[in-house]
Amino acid sequence: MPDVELKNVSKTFDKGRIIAVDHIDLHVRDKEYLTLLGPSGCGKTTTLRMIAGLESNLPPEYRDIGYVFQEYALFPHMDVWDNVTYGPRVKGWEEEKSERIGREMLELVRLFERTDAFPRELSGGMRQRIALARALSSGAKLLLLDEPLGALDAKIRTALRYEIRKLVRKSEQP
Amino acid sequence: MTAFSQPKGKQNLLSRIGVSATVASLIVFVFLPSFFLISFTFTRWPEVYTEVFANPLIGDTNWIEIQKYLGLSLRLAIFAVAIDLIFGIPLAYILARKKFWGKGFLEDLITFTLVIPTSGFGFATLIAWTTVSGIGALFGRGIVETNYLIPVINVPFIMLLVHIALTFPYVVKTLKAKLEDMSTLFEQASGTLGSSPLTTFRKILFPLTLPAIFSGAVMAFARSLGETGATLVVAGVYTTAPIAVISWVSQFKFGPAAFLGSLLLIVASAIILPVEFILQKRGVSTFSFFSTLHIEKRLLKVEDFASRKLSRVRDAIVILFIIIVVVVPIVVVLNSVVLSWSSDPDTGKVTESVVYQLFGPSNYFSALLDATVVSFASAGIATYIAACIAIPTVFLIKRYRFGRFLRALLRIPLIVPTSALGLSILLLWGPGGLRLADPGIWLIILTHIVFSVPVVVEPMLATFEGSDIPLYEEASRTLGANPYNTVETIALPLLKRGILTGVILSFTRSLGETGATFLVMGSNTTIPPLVVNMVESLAIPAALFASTYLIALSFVLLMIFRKVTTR
Repeated sequence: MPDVELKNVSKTFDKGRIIAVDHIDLHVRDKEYLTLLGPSGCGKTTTLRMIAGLESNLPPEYRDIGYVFQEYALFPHMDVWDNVTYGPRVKGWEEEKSERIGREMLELVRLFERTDAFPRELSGGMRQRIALARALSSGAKLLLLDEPLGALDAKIRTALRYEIRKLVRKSEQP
Repeated sequence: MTAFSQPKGKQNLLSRIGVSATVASLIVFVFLPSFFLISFTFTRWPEVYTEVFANPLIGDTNWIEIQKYLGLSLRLAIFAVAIDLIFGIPLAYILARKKFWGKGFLEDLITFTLVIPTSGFGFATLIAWTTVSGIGALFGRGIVETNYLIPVINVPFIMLLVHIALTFPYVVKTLKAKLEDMSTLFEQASGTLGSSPLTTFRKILFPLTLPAIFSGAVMAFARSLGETGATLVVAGVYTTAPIAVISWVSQFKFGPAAFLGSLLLIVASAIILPVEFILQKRGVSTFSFFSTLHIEKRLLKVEDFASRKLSRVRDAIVILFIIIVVVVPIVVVLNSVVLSWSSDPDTGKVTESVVYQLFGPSNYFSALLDATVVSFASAGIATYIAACIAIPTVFLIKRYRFGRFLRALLRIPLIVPTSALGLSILLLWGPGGLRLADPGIWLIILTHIVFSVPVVVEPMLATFEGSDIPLYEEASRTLGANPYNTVETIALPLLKRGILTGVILSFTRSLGETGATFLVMGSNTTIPPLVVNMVESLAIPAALFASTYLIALSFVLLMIFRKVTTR
């Protein structure tokens, strides 16, 4: 994955009346972890969305991204399995490959036995792990996590923080 | 990598074609017919003026008549809505907040009058109240005369009763949905602070639900103003504005018909659109009417007393209301069909029996079968075409800036009185206009498409707004799906329930439509006009059977509706 580089990037809303991101420079190297910190409304989400190409109608500059939304955005009409294999399927990967990746990712987040469950039947922590598995399964080389732990309680939050690192490291191995 | 596999230029071109095709079909099939009548009246103004205001033979008689008809229609709509509110608000409250035995059945009864083709229900009400086979059997004569006019408000009793039955579900359904969405926390908080249920209702629930009450009342008003099927059946000697349009067209007096139709359209828009606009802008927040009257303390005491003593009475009154306006007509019709199946119960004449009229020389049975085929075919095709236009329209409304404008325009076909719409279609597409089709099934379909498109769009928009679709679409994009994939795998499946609800509503509305169909059907009669014709030619047993048939049909539709809309 090439480095992520933002140079002098701004974003305004409401015809320029609200400045969400004001001339930001950012350089993230390969294999690097970067955390954006700041009070709410300071433009963290907007920055992530710009990197993911969600703030314009143009195709994103970076391919192979995995984006985990603050609200997870698990598709409510699909079960866990269909959610996790969604990326491979819409990218037109072979069935066999999609299934293998789906299985791998679900095993990684240790939710393989819940493949038939729908998002509404899962707890917050489980949903978060599924969202992560979904992002990873489409071959993400750049993971963008928008307050992925915000909606969880303190105990699970600490546990998942370690787990995410572990998962990312694991998924890097061929 | 096949993400965004469509080349960008091609994608833009495709979406541009899609957008223009949708807008074009909306203009041709929906907006043009809705507004054509007014432009017709303007372009032919000298002719219309002579006919209405300065006829060489009858002077301005037509104008005086028009004022009379419009007056009756407006009084009818206003009093029907007033009574809808009196009974509908407590009914919605009970349905949303209480659990009791038979609640599901009660809700079905309320949906029933929305589903049933109105001419059949009008006939049922007529039989129940004005003849000895109805509840009059208990007294040996009909309870009221068909032409009985309620004093002071000058509205025919039976007509008012029918309009109430056909419009109160709008008030009940919108308010109930709103109450169910609302947390009961406010009510509980108000209760713990020591206010009686009635006070809680006045101070908490009523202000919070006022927009819903208003929008229900607006829909009820629009329906009453345009109602034709049942009104034709129970009209007696009275004429409402939509009926006048129909009878003038049948006498080929297009001038006054177009003028009255345009007035009806303008009056409906002038009353309904501003109310909706205000509601959307800010809701209705302040309601300090009672406190300005300095009766607050007295009121609190009354409410406290009433809450303790009268909740039973309230339940009983509301149930009685449903029985009177919905249950009695259904039961009477079913009973009468059985009684007069093989001979008239009073005179014993075989020629006055259901069987004789259905299969005898007049052969109403085969007429009914033919009408059923025409009804289902036209409702099916119109609904299908409407859905094809409505689905892309919803995306336009949500994705483009002109969407809001489109949405506001789509309210018009919903409130246009259908007889005005039928006349508009006849003048636009019919033999006197662009000659697209002769009166018959295709003209019926073209007419029904006009109101079917917004009927399908509305529930889809509601589903869209309740389901975070933009968020899921973004998620799908980050996973590499192209826009077509996204619509197909995310948006459409999430909208499925809304589409189904819209399609069923549109189908039932199309099946029951009378006013417009009357004008454009030519020789291809659908069921509702057939029922009106039966009543007008006094083939009462045949009409009884047709009403029963419609009641049965409506129950089937109701079951399907219920299956689709409940989780």
